[in-house]
Amino acid sequence: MHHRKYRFILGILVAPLALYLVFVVSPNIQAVYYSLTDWSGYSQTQNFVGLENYVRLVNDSLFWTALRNNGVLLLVLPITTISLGLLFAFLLHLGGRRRGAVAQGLRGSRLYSAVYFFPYLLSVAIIAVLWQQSYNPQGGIVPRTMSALGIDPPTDGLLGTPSTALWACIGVAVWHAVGFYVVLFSAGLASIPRDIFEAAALDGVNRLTMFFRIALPLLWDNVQVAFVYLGIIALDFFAIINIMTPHPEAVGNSTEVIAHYLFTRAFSGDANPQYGYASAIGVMLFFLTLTLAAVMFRASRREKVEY
Amino acid sequence: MTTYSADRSRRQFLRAALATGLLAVPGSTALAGCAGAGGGAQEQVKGTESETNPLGVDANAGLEVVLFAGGLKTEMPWVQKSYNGLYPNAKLNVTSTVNINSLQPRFTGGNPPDFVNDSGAQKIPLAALAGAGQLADLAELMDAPSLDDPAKKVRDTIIPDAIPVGTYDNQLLVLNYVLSTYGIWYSQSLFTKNGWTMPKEWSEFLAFADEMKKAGLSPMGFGGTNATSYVYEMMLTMAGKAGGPDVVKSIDNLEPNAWKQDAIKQAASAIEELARKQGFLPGSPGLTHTQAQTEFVNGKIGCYPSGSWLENEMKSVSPKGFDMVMAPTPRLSSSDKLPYEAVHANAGEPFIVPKQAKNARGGLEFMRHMLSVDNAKAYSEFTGSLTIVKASHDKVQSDSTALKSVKAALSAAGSNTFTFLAQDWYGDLKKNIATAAVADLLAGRTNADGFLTAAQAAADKIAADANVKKFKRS
Amino acid sequence: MATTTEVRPTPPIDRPTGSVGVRRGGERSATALFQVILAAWALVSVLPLLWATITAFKPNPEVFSSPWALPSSWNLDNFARAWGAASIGQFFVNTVIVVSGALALTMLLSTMVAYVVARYEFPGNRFIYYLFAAGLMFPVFLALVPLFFVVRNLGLLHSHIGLILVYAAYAMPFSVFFLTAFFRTLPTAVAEAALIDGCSHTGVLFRVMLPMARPGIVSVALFNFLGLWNQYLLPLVLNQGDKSTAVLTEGLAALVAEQGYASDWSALFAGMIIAMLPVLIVYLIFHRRIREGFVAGALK
Repeated sequence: MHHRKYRFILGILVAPLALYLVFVVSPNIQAVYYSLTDWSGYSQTQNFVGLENYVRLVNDSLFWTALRNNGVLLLVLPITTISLGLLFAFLLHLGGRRRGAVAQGLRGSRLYSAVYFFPYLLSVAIIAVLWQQSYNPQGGIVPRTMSALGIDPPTDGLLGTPSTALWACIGVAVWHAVGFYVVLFSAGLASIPRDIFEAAALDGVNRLTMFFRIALPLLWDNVQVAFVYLGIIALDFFAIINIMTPHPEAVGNSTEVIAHYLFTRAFSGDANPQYGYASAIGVMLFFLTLTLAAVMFRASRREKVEY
Repeated sequence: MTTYSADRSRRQFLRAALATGLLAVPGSTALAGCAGAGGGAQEQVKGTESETNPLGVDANAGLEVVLFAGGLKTEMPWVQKSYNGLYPNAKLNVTSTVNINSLQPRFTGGNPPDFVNDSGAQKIPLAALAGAGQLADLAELMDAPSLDDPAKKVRDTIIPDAIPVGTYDNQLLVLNYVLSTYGIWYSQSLFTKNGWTMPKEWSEFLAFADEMKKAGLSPMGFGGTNATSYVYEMMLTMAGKAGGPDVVKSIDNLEPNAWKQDAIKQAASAIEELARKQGFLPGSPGLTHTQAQTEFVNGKIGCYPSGSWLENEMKSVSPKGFDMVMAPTPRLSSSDKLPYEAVHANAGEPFIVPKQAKNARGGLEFMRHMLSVDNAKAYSEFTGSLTIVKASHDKVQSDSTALKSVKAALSAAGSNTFTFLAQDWYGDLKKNIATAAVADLLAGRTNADGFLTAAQAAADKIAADANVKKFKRS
Repeated sequence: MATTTEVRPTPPIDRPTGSVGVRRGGERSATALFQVILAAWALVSVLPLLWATITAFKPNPEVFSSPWALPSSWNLDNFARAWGAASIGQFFVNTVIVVSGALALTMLLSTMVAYVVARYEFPGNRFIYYLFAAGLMFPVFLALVPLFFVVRNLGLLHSHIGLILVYAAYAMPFSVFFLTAFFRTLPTAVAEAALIDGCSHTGVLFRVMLPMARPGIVSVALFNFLGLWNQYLLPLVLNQGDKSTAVLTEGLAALVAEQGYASDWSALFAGMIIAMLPVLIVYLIFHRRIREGFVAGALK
């Protein structure tokens, strides 16, 4: 019996593991090796330099600037996205008029949750052109809306002002991601038995309390997973920075993030290519992400609410 | 609903992390050995030299050509035809890409294409390729007889300025084919309508700027998110005209205190003053260069500093009768060392033959064909840009106002042309000076003195960095 | 603080029998407010798509001169230019081949791994799980250049099969991670009964467990489809210099990059719409399934 079981397990695992080891794990291991060399990325030879790249990295102020910006992202991106996702999901589920004892979903909630997902479908190329136009200080829709709301948009444009550029990029990221989390949390809410909410409504509990005391604790697993996903996105943040502010140094490095700095050092024609050094940045990024995931799994693990 | 407790789960997570980390180290050397940077050299093909085949091309060998699909995008069918005219059996494989950098692994792997147009935002840094010994020496091509006249060497058919730009450590490694001329662009029809002429001195330009503002135009503009380097170009051109070409040469050579020279200081102050007087379109720091140029062709910006590719780049969105023309950058004062007519002209659009290419000789031959008068003329007529082939300039037929104005500016300048190279040699110089420091100056986050200090510090840092290969020019 | 609590009058317990009129009014305005919030976000989500669609029909000069207006004439030839000159047609076919191949492969392999990891105790179980989970955290750029050499040494550059294998490998971490969680939520009784009835392990997987796991598998497949269709970095490095195997994202990137130099904006937008249509259609057909997958407890 056991023999049969192990043969089955081995048979099942061999092909996927081989594929994964060859195409994903081994290139990353090679990259770790490059991080210990002085390879420029263009020469045919390289010298082993030990931990020199890592020592340089620790003394590189731009790396720390990038790290700080990733820190901001790490705080803001998950919290904003998850809050909006929870809000929309909750309203879709319980925002409607009360019929009988309990509030119903809002009219059109199916349509809404489908539409919220649209930004997720767009490729980076579309997002770039779209948001560059929307942020255009010469008549773009975002500065215009700000003016209409009585907020003065910055003269140099949202993407051209150091104090706003990162926030403008975060805005795009939130817009892009919210739909996914609305669907995720909606699904979570739908799996909570409706009579829990009905009982609460009968006790006169208002929606706010219902949200914080009932829905949120029951959705905690989902929220935790969302934190981990968004945390990884925040640390590996690249595409949006690269399309919105391809030269972070033009806004005082206020939008420089680790993944973009890695890219600049490794590939971009705009800097002295240092592939070994870039690899060291990548390895650091990997361990940061790993630590983050470990911490989050631990910190957010709570007693499970059973129902 | 995992059955694992939090604590156990965490421990296992860490253990797995450790395992992946450990796994990484011992395997790496072995893997790097089979797949890493040291690819073996491949065999190269060679034919017999003859009068019509001075470079000894293998007449039957295929030729892989990778071109840049940018503003000057063309697969140069005329050159292909010309090459196949001499070698009908050679199979040409010509492709275009916008991301030349994706060829990087082929260089390190030892099987690069035979001919590459290394250009665009994602080009492979030429200095890096040169430093890594990846480029074929073009001296042999330069000494070969030209396609048009066997009595004339290729070297003598091109503009001499093209040589230093492509030279690294005394070897000519890069053929910069297109002659780019820089200056201030404007709409001839708009200027005629308003009775304006382009001022020649900076003080006059500042007065003219007020006039443009009264007419509802922003005097200048730029794309701050990706193209502050256009303003950097204008600044160094003004400095070069004020102090002579030696000013920019000392910057290229990373000489101590090169950025503290008086001419640079004047030029930086000029830019600072224009910025302070709202001389640039509001919001420019938040625009891309395309957005800024769209404002220019839509008549919201009066003058735009850029190079001779501009008209072609904006062709499809320019209104009819815009009549884009270029004038030399105004000079700082009448005591400038160079006359007003002096222009920043450089050979741009780099073409290279990878040293390890299978058919490197074919790559050189392809270049020889590009440098014939007829092929250069065809290129200019297709792209609206002049090339470094001297004899082709007068033969180019074009209705383009831009091309005509560039030709006029070049002939008025005569020998008073100059160029600067440090921003192409040193990526960190472009990043920290042409982008960061210039952006700070334009947005008013620093003044001219602050700019000079920042620029000098950035240049000194590069000069002191042993990891960066240095280049010299004279 | 304590005083405030004392001073504040205790609110009457809000029983359904309470002041019905007041409740109804507040109820109505609250619902209206919610509708406004939700509709506003819907607008923000859908407007860009509409804008891109309308722009795709505009003549070139209008793209920027009047970005928010309707086109003066509806130009279908923008689409023709994108399809023909920019070879979007050829890229489209390549993309369909590569994405469908990779999708099938990654779903098959990931399901197998996830099932075994979730349902069998064996030495190395957790190691394999975390090995795949770690894949979620590798920065993509780190591996790009070495990956090129791996693929080249296998002789798989510029081939559909090479791209399929690589795409599938890079889609595995997410799929394994997600599906493992999913399989853990499924009841064990059915599988055990089947085993006792003499069904083989393979039989249990394919005949019993897979049908039960369908909602989870469908939603993972959908996410992978979206991700693979928009995959950009991998083909960029593995396909370069060869148009015959290029995929849509490369074609689009080429169009975008050319905007910096040639500015045929309408063709760019037309190309983007063409590239996006299949994603949109697949999404509209299957979007309820995503929710089903989540509802079934996949992400717990």
